[in-house]
Amino acid sequence: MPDFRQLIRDRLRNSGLSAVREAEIVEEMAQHLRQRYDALRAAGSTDDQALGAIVAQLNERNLSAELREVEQPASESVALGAPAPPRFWTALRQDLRYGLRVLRLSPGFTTVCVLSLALGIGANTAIFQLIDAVRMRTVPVKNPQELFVLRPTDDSRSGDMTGRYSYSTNAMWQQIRDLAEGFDTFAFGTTSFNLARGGQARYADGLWVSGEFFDVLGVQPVLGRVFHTADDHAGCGSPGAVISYNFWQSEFGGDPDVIGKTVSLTNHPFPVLGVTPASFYGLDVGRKFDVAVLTCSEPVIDAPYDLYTMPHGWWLAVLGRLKPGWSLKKASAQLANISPAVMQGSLPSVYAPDRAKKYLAMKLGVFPAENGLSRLRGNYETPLWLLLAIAGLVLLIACANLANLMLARAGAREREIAIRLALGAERKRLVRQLLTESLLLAFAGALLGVGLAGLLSRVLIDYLNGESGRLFISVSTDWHVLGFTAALAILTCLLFGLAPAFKATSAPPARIMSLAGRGLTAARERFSLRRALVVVQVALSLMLVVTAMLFAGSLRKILTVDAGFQRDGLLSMDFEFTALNLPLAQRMPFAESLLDRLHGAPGIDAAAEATEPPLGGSYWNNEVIVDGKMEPGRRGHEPRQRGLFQDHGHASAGWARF
Amino acid sequence: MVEPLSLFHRELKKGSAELLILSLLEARPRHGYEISQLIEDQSGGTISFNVASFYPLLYRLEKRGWIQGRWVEKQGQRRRRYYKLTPAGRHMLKQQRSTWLEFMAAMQRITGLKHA
Repeated sequence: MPDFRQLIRDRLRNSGLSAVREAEIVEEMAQHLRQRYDALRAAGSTDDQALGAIVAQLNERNLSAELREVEQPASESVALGAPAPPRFWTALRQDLRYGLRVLRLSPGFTTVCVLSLALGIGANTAIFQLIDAVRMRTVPVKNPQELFVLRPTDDSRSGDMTGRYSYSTNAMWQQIRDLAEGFDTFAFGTTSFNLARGGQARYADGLWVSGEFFDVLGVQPVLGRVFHTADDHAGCGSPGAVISYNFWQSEFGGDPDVIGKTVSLTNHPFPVLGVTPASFYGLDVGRKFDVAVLTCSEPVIDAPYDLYTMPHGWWLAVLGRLKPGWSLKKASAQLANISPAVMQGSLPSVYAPDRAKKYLAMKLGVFPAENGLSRLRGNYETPLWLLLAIAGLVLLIACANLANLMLARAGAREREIAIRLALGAERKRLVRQLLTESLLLAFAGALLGVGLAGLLSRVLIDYLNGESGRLFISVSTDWHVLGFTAALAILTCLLFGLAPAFKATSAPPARIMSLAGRGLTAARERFSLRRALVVVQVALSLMLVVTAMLFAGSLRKILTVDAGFQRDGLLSMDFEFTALNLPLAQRMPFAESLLDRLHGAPGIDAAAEATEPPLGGSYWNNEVIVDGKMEPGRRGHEPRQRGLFQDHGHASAGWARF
Repeated sequence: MVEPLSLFHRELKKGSAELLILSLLEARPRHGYEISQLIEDQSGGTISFNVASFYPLLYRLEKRGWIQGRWVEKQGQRRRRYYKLTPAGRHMLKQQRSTWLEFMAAMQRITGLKHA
């Protein structure tokens, strides 16, 4: 076969074309001539006749001159071995296109890499999404950075603590409100309301809020109105309830005429006053609120043992918003000044002298609350960071694995790389090219990982939620999450791409070329790096396996620990009797009659009742009465009596049998 | 010295070459050899282009933005440069068709030329 490339090349001398453009034209026209030659041969021409016809045709025109008319001569000549550096974006575009083409040619390799990275990055992103939701995101109110929570700096609280944030009594909150100057304050407490008017209880997440709550937070209603300071006064009764947007949708079907309709809260009717915006879920991260009721309405629902008037009832969280020109430090100093007066003005009269002394010495501190309050944060923040660290290690293993794959692939491409180096390509340009391929893989993995993270974080939330289904975590892909994922993609790209890229371009081209023909590879160092990567993988995997075994061992111990009672065949139930409106004197007899009926039921060996079942997650600490006598000198205050029990006998007679 | 008839023939080809190429790329992208063969085959050998002037013509159309060339690699084949019509080329094709129709109608009216 004649050398058609040379035929064209001979006619392009002095054309002034760039080397790259000339090479393209030579390749394209030579292909044309080759096909023409084949066609002439197929039509019966001899080799010489076919070639002669082609050469004659070429000689009819001055190809070089015709091309010069069309093509602009290269502005600067580019000599082989010393390429003019292309501009950054142009070079990047070239690298990306070349990288895409190379990866498309190895679909198996690309799929394995992208899936490995997607799993690793997806798991990390999912856990980070949860951390972001419970730890980093600010509460959905205006200027959240101005918010802070006031609470005792030492835990000298004593009395009845109810709700998730029992930092203050009502008397203490009122003292703070009256004495504070540099900041606006409000208080809220958490509770749950039984919505059912009878039969099976149906709970809504409730908030006790002071009259200032919505105004200080700057929450405007989408319907009706919210509470204001004037609404909040002792003996306010049941003026109404403000409901959340979600509750309005789920309970009232989004009825636009919902204002004035009543909602039953633990068997007490409350008219709906307003609906809050969809974006506002309260200040409790991990929980949403359904219904908010004024703190002064609490006695209506909880009488006769209400917390509003109970001097030692801790049930409120007090928060503040800094006024213009005030800082947290200044507010803290002011709070330190007013603390003695606050404590003196709210000292529970029932406290014994030693308890009262501790109470009066208590100091209030201010703590930033731009991220809201969260029990979930306290319970799960450390485990989530731990989980993120473990997922990070898994990603590290995936990176080591990918680096190994890249090294193996570099072995297969060493001839290509050697040729490019021999033709004058700069090493840093080749490293950049190889890194671009890694970056493409990393970003494809990250893209798929973000999709996967949405599913994984939902699985995690379902797991944390358990059966209660009351956990509310709004996971969304905000700029925190996207930034984290992008950083992860770049980090993984460097981790698995950098070393192989340097190794692949480190061997001298002549050595590669001389050995490649014999099927040998020159990069002994590459194998040592691969061995090192395998060692890293095995070490990390071993560490994770040992950690997992330790976790499993701990879990096994927890499951097999002697709880002190027989656990098989137990069934526990919660009873809500408020709908029956039983007088106080009839509550115990009713409970006992219920137990008697259960005793007689088929399949039930024994039945008992308790306020706080063992391992239930709550506890009741109070003075123990032996033989009906309180230990002398220990009686601090009357224990609060609620629910079924008239005295400290929190467990019924049959309880000990378990 | 070039014969007058040959010169006329060459000028005719020159004038119609752009329309021919754009028309053939209207349906789908094609490589250079395919375009030149189609012109030769479909014209019954009446119109054929010298390879040394055909490719400069393709590059000129590309420079004007009427067609776009792209190297395409297929499994087991050498990479080839395929040309496709751009939106500007499609617009130009429409205009050239219309001009040619007017031109031919005028020629018919004047010279009495008729289809065989």
